Amino acid sequence: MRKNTSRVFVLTISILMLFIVGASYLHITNGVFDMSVIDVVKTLLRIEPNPKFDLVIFEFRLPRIVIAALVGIGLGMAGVVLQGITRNGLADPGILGINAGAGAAVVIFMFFFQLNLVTADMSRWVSILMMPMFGFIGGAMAAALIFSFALKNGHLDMQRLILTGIAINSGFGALSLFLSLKMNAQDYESAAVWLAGSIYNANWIFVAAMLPWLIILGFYVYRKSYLLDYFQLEEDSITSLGIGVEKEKIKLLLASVGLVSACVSVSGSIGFIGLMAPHIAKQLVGIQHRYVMPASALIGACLLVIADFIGKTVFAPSELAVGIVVSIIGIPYFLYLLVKSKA
Amino acid sequence: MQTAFRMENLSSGYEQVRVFEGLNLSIEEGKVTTIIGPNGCGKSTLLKTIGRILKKQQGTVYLQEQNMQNLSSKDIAKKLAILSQTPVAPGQLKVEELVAYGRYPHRNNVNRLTKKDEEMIEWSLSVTNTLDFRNRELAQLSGGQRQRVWLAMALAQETSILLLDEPTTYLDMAHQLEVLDIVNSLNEQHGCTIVMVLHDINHAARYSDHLIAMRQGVVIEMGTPNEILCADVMRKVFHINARIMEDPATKTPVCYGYDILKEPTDEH
Amino acid sequence: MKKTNIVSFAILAATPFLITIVALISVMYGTKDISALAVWQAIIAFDPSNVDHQIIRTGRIPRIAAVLLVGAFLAVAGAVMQGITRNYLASPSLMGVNDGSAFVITLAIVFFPGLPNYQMILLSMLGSALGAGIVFGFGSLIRNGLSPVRLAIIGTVIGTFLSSIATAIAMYFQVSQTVSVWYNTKVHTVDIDMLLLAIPFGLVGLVLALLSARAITITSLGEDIALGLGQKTKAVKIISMLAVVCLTGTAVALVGKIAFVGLVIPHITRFLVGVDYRFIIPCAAAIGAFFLALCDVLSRYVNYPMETPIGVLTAIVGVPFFLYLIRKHGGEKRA
Repeated sequence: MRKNTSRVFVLTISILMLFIVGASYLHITNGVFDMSVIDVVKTLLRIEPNPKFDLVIFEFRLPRIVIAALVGIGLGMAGVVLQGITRNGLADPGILGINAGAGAAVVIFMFFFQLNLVTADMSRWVSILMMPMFGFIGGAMAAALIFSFALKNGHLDMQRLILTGIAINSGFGALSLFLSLKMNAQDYESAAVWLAGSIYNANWIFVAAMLPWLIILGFYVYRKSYLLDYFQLEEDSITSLGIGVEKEKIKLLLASVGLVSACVSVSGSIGFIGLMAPHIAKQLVGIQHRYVMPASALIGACLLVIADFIGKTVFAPSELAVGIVVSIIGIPYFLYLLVKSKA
Repeated sequence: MQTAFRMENLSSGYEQVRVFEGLNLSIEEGKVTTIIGPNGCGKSTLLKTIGRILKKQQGTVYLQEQNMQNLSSKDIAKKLAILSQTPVAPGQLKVEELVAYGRYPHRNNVNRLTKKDEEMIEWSLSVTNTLDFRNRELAQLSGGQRQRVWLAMALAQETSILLLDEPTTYLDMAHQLEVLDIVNSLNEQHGCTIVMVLHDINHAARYSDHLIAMRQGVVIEMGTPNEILCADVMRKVFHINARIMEDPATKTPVCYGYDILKEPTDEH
Repeated sequence: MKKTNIVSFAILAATPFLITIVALISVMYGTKDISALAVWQAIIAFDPSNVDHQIIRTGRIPRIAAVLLVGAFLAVAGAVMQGITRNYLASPSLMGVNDGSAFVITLAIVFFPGLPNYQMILLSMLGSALGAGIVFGFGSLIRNGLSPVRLAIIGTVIGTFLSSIATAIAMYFQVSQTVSVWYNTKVHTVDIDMLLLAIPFGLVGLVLALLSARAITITSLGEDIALGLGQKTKAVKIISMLAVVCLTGTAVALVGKIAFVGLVIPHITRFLVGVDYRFIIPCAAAIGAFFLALCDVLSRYVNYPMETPIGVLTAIVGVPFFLYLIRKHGGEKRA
């Protein structure tokens, strides 16, 4: 039985990899001007370098795909953790308001440091590297608020959790809007684009900013993923097995907030990936979290690369923010889950 | 006499509500001890408190003469297992997987089960007669089967003490006895100390060495089934006029009928 | 009963006074301060060549009028919804009514540009009905879906969905600027013709709400009781839903989406005057008008000289209140 599960897992992971490669291929060859595979391969392998292709691939398309994939991985993993510790299949960093909290903190940061995200250049790389840190503070504050309001007699009340998320979203959203209006016109523009959840201004600095977070925290939550199996039991049973429930939950929560913040600080608020990816992953590989976690990460990456490709091409030459594409796909899925869920 | 639990001046409850206060009590090792009493008397609260699922508010609990406060939760989990009243688990979980969860306190490498782990799981499944459906999902089981699987998970924890909170709730009559028989054999054949909460006083009398009778957070009386299952104690604890005789088959007292007390002789 | 009377009459007597003060402040102060005397003259002896008079007549008076009306409309719509659904979270912004209306307006701008104002109002009302229809329809599909919390979740999510679609459509047809105006409130650019047109529509809604007030009180006690008392619950629901659609449709057509007014004000009103909707509805209208006018005045000063969107102000008040409601009621059923 166990062998079977791991075989399914390996198969799923391989197929997902293929999907990501396929989506990346579409993404990299299509755009304002289309390139052939041969051009792309030649450019990547440094055969007959062509400065024009170099620019398009290395400065625009490749970082964008990499960011999309990384953000998808981060959100997919954070979603698994959040759904696991809240024992709520509808939990998602966007719905819970962690995105909004991290977003507001990043706006505050941009406001005080006059940081223009659209034209980020190398001279600002220190401040850009700091952004996930700020996002983390905001996200952690939002998480603390959410959980303190949703706690009823020591237990998390699921409905309150989501409602509080709605409230936190409006509150931090209003704060972000207020602050972004105080900025000068150019900063405002960049903040507005960023808030909508977009990655078309991706560059390598952003990759550098989020990668350490993703590697360290990603590795941490993967190591701890077996705990999420136990968290499916109710609190009394977990305690009786000798697991320090609260301590572990807080550690995992903070790790997922860190993941989300790193994502939000480069891509703005993108919701519903953290909702969809874990569900799809569980459909594919079962409920053991050491399988669900990597599968969900790859599904997140896959979804986001595809969504960004859609956003880039469907209304070309205008770009549709990837956050909006994801919402349009994700909300029907959310409603479907709501219909399916009991009680 | 070795004590499994010794409580000194123990107080516990929920949030603002104190359920019991200043309790001093010892529970013997190697015996089956059952806590009985009317709804809300604090029997489950007591069980959860000594099983450290509920934080005590005051006092000390000694687990095998060691102050529980000085033991880590994982160490406690190697000494005692507690099965709560209505445990829940995802329906897609397989029986074997759930039972394997019970090995948590003994596992260092979290991804692979050791030979010892496998053996304990095997043993737990066989003791609880759940081997036949070890590969089935929980959602496909009947209530009685599921309760036995939960018991198997607690057994897989490999502890000498087992705390059971109303292990027979929601089971029909045959399945109730099935579970209690397993509990009995664990005590007799493997020397497990059992502390449980039961609603049915006849079951309590039949399967226990000691009974603890509680009312409103106070231990009214404790002793052997014959000492507790008598008209006098029943009047004080449940406010009933109980008619009691000895079951000729099991030689234990049974309450075969009762009436509500007309004028309750309240102890307060 | 008597105490309720006194409180509600006190509210109805005091609010005109308070509203006048806020209105006066609103008309006098802004990016350019204008004296009370000039305001008075602009009203009784309008001089088209005087810039101050122009500002007052074409800018500030329509603005305060719109804000007062919208405040009253949203508060009454919220009160009616909460009474009729017995759901303490019912309100135009949480139940998809606002979003439906903004969505349809977006479609209209994209596909039928240059529609006359009255058609815009009608479409906006149609949108309100559509939004409410989708949310409540969905709610009744799901087990427990009409519980306060579930409905609020569905409403919010469907709202996000509609606005995402609207954004995408707007992006495609490159009218996002025009469209974003409907989603972000625009009290400072109220169209006078639209305002004059909106008044009758809104008044119809108010009258409908007042007429059904008694029936709403009975319905708020519970459907079984209402049936037992011989009430035609279907008719009451239809009429009050019509009132909600008129009120929110007009409000959105006038200034766009404003959240939380319809949620918070009815609760405050009920706290003050009790459970009788014959008193709640007029009092909610008065308090709502005052509240939104106050927010509007504040919105000009929190970030002077820039104007802050009024929605930020209502959120500052609304979010803590919303959290308080969740904390207090959780998932329970009663309004």
